[in-house]
Amino acid sequence: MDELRHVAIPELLRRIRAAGAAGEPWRADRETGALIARSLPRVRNVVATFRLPEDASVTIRDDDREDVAQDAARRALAMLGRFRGASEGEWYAAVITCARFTCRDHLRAEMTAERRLAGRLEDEPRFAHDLATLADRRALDAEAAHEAADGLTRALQHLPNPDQRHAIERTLEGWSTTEIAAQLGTSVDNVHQLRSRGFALLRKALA
Amino acid sequence: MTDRLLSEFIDAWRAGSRPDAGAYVDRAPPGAQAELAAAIEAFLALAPEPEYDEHAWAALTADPAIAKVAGAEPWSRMLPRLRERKALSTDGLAAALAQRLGVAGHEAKARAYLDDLEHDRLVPARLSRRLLDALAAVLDAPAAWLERATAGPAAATGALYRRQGEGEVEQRLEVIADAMLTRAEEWDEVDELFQGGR
Repeated sequence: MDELRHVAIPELLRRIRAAGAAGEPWRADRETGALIARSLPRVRNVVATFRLPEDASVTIRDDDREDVAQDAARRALAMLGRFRGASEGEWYAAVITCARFTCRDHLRAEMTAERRLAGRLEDEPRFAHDLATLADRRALDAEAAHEAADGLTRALQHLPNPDQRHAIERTLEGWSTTEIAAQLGTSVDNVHQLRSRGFALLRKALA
Repeated sequence: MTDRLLSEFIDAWRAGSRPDAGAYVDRAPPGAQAELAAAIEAFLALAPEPEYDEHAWAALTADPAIAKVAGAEPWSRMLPRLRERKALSTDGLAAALAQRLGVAGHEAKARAYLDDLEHDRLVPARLSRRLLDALAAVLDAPAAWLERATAGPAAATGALYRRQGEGEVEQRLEVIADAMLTRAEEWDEVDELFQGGR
């Protein structure tokens, strides 16, 4: 797969889609492998940091993380047929969305099972309904992925503090903390803070 | 402290060293962990891909999880698509297979098995090598690709002849047990093709 190391994500997506459209997905087998290889570190980290929106203390158990990450990567691949995005940013926003949905489904399914074991069935219809609405989840995933990509771009453009936006944009361009501090004429500690608060605000756009 | 941990994570990510976000979150004070987790997640949604050097790339692509993720297409999704691509009905595929495999006259049984395969009612590991090669030839698809196909997650527990995911040894024992329980005259070549294993 070494020849694919420098192939950009949009080109990988194009080749995988072309092979899929021809009904011959095996023609892009290596490209699919490269796309998964590049996406897995991000997916694993989202699984490791995921918190249930309703209760931030609920996380994925260490023992379950790898299985959930692989399920999330499968889900992202399955969504590819309906995914309209073509850029690296859109793909990774989609991957993150799929990872978050997979984490949420995993935790909710786990909670449903625990409720059943505990004999508390009164909440079950609601959770069962939530899970049932995921039946057509590929379409939902693709739609949510687009919304997430658009939402993040909008949120970044509208960060209230211009220094925060500047610190984040330069970070994403690969500038070091010291370089950003020098350009903004502020301390390194302040850049740490601007970045941390800015990303926390952007995270709300993903929710 | 949390601000600095986020910066450390960002630096490690950009260096291509595949940092474990969970470890960074664990280092934050309990009251600040959710905030750091949220900030890392937002960064990951926007962060460009790191430049992986040769060694990092080799490690990345040697990840055994890749095969598990990539090879997960179920027969119920794959077989109808491949069949339609060659403009074959299930009857047509059964006839072509029967002819290729030298089991003419058993098309109806082969068709029933193909229907089971399309509804995830067969255990993929039990499909014989001869059958996979014949399917590959008729459907014009690589046999290795067909070999990777799985039983679908929607398969009803009781409907599977044998559940996917159980150990290889258990599956072999199950095949032997089935063979011992089945009268020799009932188990024919078509059963062997679809359930005899590799």
